[in-house]
Amino acid sequence: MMPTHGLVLQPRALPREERVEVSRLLPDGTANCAGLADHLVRHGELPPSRRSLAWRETMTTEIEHAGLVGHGGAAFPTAKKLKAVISQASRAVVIANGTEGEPASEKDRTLLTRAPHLVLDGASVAADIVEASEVLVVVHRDVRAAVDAAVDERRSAELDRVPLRVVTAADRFVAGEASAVVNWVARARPVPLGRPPRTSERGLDGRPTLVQNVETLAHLALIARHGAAWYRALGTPDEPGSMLVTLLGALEEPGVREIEIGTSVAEVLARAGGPTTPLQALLVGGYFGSWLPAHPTLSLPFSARGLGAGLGAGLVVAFPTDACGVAETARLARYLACESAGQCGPCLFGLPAIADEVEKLAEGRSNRLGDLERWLVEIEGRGACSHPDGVARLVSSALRVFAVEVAEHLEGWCTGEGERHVLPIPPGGSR
Amino acid sequence: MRIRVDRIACDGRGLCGEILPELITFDDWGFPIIKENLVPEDLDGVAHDAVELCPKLALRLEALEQECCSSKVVRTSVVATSWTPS
Amino acid sequence: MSAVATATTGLPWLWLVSRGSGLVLLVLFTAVVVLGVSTRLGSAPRALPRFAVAELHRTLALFAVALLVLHVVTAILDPYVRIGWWATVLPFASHYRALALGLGTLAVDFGAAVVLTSLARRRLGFRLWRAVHWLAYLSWPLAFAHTLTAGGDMGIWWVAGLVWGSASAVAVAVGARVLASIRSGAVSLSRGSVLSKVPRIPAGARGA
Repeated sequence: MMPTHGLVLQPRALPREERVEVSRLLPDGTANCAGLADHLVRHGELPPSRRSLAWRETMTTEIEHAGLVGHGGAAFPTAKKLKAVISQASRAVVIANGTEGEPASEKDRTLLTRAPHLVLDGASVAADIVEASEVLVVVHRDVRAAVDAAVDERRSAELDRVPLRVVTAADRFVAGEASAVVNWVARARPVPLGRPPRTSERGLDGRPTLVQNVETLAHLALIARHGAAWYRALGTPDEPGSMLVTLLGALEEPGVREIEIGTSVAEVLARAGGPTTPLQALLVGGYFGSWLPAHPTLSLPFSARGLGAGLGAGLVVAFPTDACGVAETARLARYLACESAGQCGPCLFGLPAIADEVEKLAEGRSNRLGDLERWLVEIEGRGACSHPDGVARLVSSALRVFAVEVAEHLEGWCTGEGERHVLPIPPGGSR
Repeated sequence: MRIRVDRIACDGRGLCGEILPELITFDDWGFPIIKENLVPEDLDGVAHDAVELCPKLALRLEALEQECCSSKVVRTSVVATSWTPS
Repeated sequence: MSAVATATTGLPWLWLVSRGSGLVLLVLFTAVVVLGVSTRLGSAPRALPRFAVAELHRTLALFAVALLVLHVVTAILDPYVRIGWWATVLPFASHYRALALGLGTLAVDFGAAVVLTSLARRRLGFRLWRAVHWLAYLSWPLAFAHTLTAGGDMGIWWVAGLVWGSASAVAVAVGARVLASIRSGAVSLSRGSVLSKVPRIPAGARGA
């Protein structure tokens, strides 16, 4: 399909039962592919970009056929975003978004440490597709040095048509949102700008801006080398490919893994050594994601369709039976309320009220459960970004999944260990 | 036409729901909940009044254009706005 | 023409209309300022819903502008005092009582900016409109000073009553507004709230 150059190590196409590890993005085991030379040995050179409209259209169509979606949380079809930026016909900007504002997620940092050149290849290809005149790579401060080193190597090798500029991301939960990244770069204010116009129409300096999560760009770099059919060889027909997940909680070997979408949840957890104790629930997606009950989720396929919930930023938390889901949700809700950008009323007032009530529920003294349920319904879609929607999803799913525990708490007692913190929640508020 | 609120400009002043209670109600903190954003024809003028009177210029009306069949997206163009992108 | 009117009725009509309209204008502008301030106080409406207060504020302001035209034109046409046309926009340019009229002219200049930007509000955007609207707080005191210096019928008890009553109304309204913003000072929905901690205020005390 797509021409390949040099030595290319394709993932071995084993029958499903024998496949143990997926290693498209991340190298096998704990190896690093941080150096440019190692990267080129593993993946080969990127096919050269052409400056023609035909090439750009071919690439976009290939990405569309591959079914690539964003891996930042919203799963927006990448080809659609590319077309939106291209249609603006003005000097575009590409932003590789490695902010990773979700504190429990580590996939973007891991990717940027172990395979930065895949991300940067993807950014370069994307820049050529949208004819960008500027490429910014916004990264978490933990990996700034690693990304700087990779960019320096590329500059010496003169790999990229458009030079890459690295920026350290802001350290807030909402800072990873697309327009918040643009706002951070432009005005050092890491808060969303409100819905219209979309960043693909008017973003940085009023120019059409393609904001893509770093993992998405890494997948793009592989599609540019191997094509859509190769990409679709893994995954499900509706959700093809592989993805990075951050596995946390009551697991033997928590960490970042690459998995094939559609793998059973139990097998996904097995990649992290399996649960250390019996589980009652899973938190999937991120702190803005959904709680799911351990049964039947463990036997379901790990895909949005299979779970009936978005995969978000690929966070999977294994929640043990001896912890208290209500208390954990209360801590999460309080953190998320403090992380509000504070720009719009429903978020500024509604989230603390929700957090207050969930805290009271956790402490066994709730008296406004009806109001809480109403606030959760009312807040949807009424923020300047989807932050309040995420909180509503988290708390609503908690009330469903932990319904028995909620009933117990209403009676004033708790069967779990409320003091046991499963999730890493930084102290909320401004940092 | 559809009525939309700029959530960042909106300060919960409450005029809109007074003028258009058929479409707008308020949450516990005085911020608008748009029950229905499609403005019926008989409320056209009233909707324009609401857009005009909002003290923070946070409301806008968008005209509906024909549906784009392939992507099922309703394209809108701005008819009346008290909000300009910064 | 006014000489004819005076001759037939014995009353200096232009003079009377000019001064009478001036007093009415003070009351009108006072009402406009008080109504404008009260839309910001944000508490539950007592007699009028908020949108009615806003509409009344606009309607009275526009009516006042119309009356203002009458006030200025009659003053200039009046043959008993010499005020050139340019004094309508250039402050302190009239021969007759330059200071007193200059204050009025300044009030009109600032007021005109407020009115014109309000009419073009949607096109200019919120921030520019708001910045210019602050001039209203300058315009009213100038108009008031003009009333005191150019007016002169303060010996009449009801004139003095209206004048000082207007001053009190504006003072109370502005004072209440200042108090309200101090009380809910922590809550700011303007762009400057990015790094502030999430505040807790009782519902209904918004409106800063």
